[in-house]
Amino acid sequence: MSCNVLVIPEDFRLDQYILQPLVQAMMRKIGRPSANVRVLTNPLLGGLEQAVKLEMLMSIVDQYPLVDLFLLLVDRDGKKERRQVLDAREREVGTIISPGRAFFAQEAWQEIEVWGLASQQLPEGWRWSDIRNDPHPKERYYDVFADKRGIANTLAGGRRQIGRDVSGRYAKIRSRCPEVQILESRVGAWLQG
Amino acid sequence: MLGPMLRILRLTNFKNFADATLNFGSFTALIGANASGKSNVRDALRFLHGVSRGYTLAETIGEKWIEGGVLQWRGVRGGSRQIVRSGTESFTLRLNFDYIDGHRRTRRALYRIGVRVAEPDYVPRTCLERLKLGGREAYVFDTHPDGHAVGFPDPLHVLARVRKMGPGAPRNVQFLSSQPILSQLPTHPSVPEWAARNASAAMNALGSMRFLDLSPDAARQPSQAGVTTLGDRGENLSSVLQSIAVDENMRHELADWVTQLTPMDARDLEFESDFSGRVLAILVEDDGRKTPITTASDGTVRFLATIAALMGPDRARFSFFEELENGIHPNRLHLLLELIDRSVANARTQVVATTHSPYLLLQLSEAQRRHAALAYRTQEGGAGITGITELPEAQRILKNHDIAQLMAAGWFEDTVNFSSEESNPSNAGSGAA
Repeated sequence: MSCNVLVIPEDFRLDQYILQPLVQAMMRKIGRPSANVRVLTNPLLGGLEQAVKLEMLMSIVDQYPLVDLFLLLVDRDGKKERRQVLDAREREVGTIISPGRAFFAQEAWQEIEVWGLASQQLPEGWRWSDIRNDPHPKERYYDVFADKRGIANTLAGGRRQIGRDVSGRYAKIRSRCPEVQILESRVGAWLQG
Repeated sequence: MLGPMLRILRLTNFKNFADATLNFGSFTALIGANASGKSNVRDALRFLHGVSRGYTLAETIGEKWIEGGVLQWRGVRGGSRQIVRSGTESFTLRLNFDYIDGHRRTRRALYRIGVRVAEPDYVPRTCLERLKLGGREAYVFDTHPDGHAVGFPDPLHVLARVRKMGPGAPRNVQFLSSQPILSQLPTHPSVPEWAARNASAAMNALGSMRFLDLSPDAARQPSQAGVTTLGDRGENLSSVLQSIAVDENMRHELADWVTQLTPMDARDLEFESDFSGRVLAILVEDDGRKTPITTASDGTVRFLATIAALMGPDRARFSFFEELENGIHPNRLHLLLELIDRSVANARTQVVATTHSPYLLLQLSEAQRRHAALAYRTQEGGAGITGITELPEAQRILKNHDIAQLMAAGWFEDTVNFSSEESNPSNAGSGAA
């Protein structure tokens, strides 16, 4: 019971360390433990603008005929209109994608690093709601946390190490991040469809 | 006209390859991530080249020292404990190739050697070996002519059935198991002349291989005039260039290549000799300025060494280049390909080159792309090889998308991963988003 999953990040250089184990854990929870999850490492994906460009997404879908499930996972950056853009992309890509394949887009509140932080025991005095609502949690919380944990100077600013925790703490992440639950439900429903 | 010398290499339990096959073209570009197995392909070919040198298996895999404590041969990286895939005790290499027999006819041949490296002593020993000819003739020699071993009389020896030309039954001959049978055959007293001659010819073919890992520092050193063999790291570059430049047209052509590669306006090459007879190549520009290769750029020196390898008087029929594009500006990579194209056009040589350059891949002709191969890591931690155009839907995708972009994005590795047997896309859901 496998499934080929391609994660499209807005910048793979840092995001891949959190997204790959997170999606792998999500697929396990849905009942697809042997899902083959790869993160797209296209150097052209150097920011949100490129990642949500329709032409780019169409090209990726065309390049990967063996992929069953495409997941575009980007930062929300405190912008509620981000969802509208992602909805539009889902509709547009959905028109060209062949039956049996799916394309979902999900924004992290407010940045991908928050999903990594959600797997961690937070420092005393930090409130989860503050982290969720901050439009720039990477600088305000993630970097501070990595520094406190002594991993700021390790690979990808500590994301590699945090990614290792993500895999075993998926339940904690989904309980702290409703958008992860939403994505999980949508993928689950598609798989059962 | 000669075709490519090497045709197909199959590696079984060799280093990180469980079972992989590489189909060669006149020029084969070998791509793949770091530590994907590209250099292990080189090691397999070097092993086969070592067979032609008449060394023992231990020397071929390890090192060969000669009188005076001179190191003559560096073996396979990792030595005998690493040459066999983890969890196995023997490896097999099978090579389909062409060689020129004593009557100057091109013969299609298959050489297969299996080597056991196991406890208690880890001394490598032949466990299977054969040389077969194409056409109606079958084997020259074979340790397993009917699918079964002729025999191993003791741990130090192996029997092989050796054919002879004309009437008469083939005979079983005893060989040392510590040395490839192929290299024992030509001088073995019990071997018929026909078999010995074919074994020698096959060894000559395997011997005509070079493995170049060019180092500008090594190539810059002056070298003894008259030495016309380029070293694996580019040693003797000056004297090899000198031998090429004896022909005035070739000397100017060398200068033309340099002019195309660099902003220099090179019009000629000169060679200066020191008191010990060592020469140094010097590039002469149109305004008379002289640049000895000791001060030429790394890229220029590497490029000259590539020319020397492919055009020198002692060029091999087969050359393997590590990271061909090193030191060459992407905008000048087409010169390398043109050089290789020219060199292989008359099948004077055959080239395999590893590359990490998307731009080199971009500039391959369609024919060259057909022989470009990908070395990749499997999900189980082993390695595999596939032609890049053999990947699912590759023909369509390579036609519609930028191949350099695909390489830079890791598309080849992604596609191999998604098409592995572990993945079973048919189990996915059926609804679209």
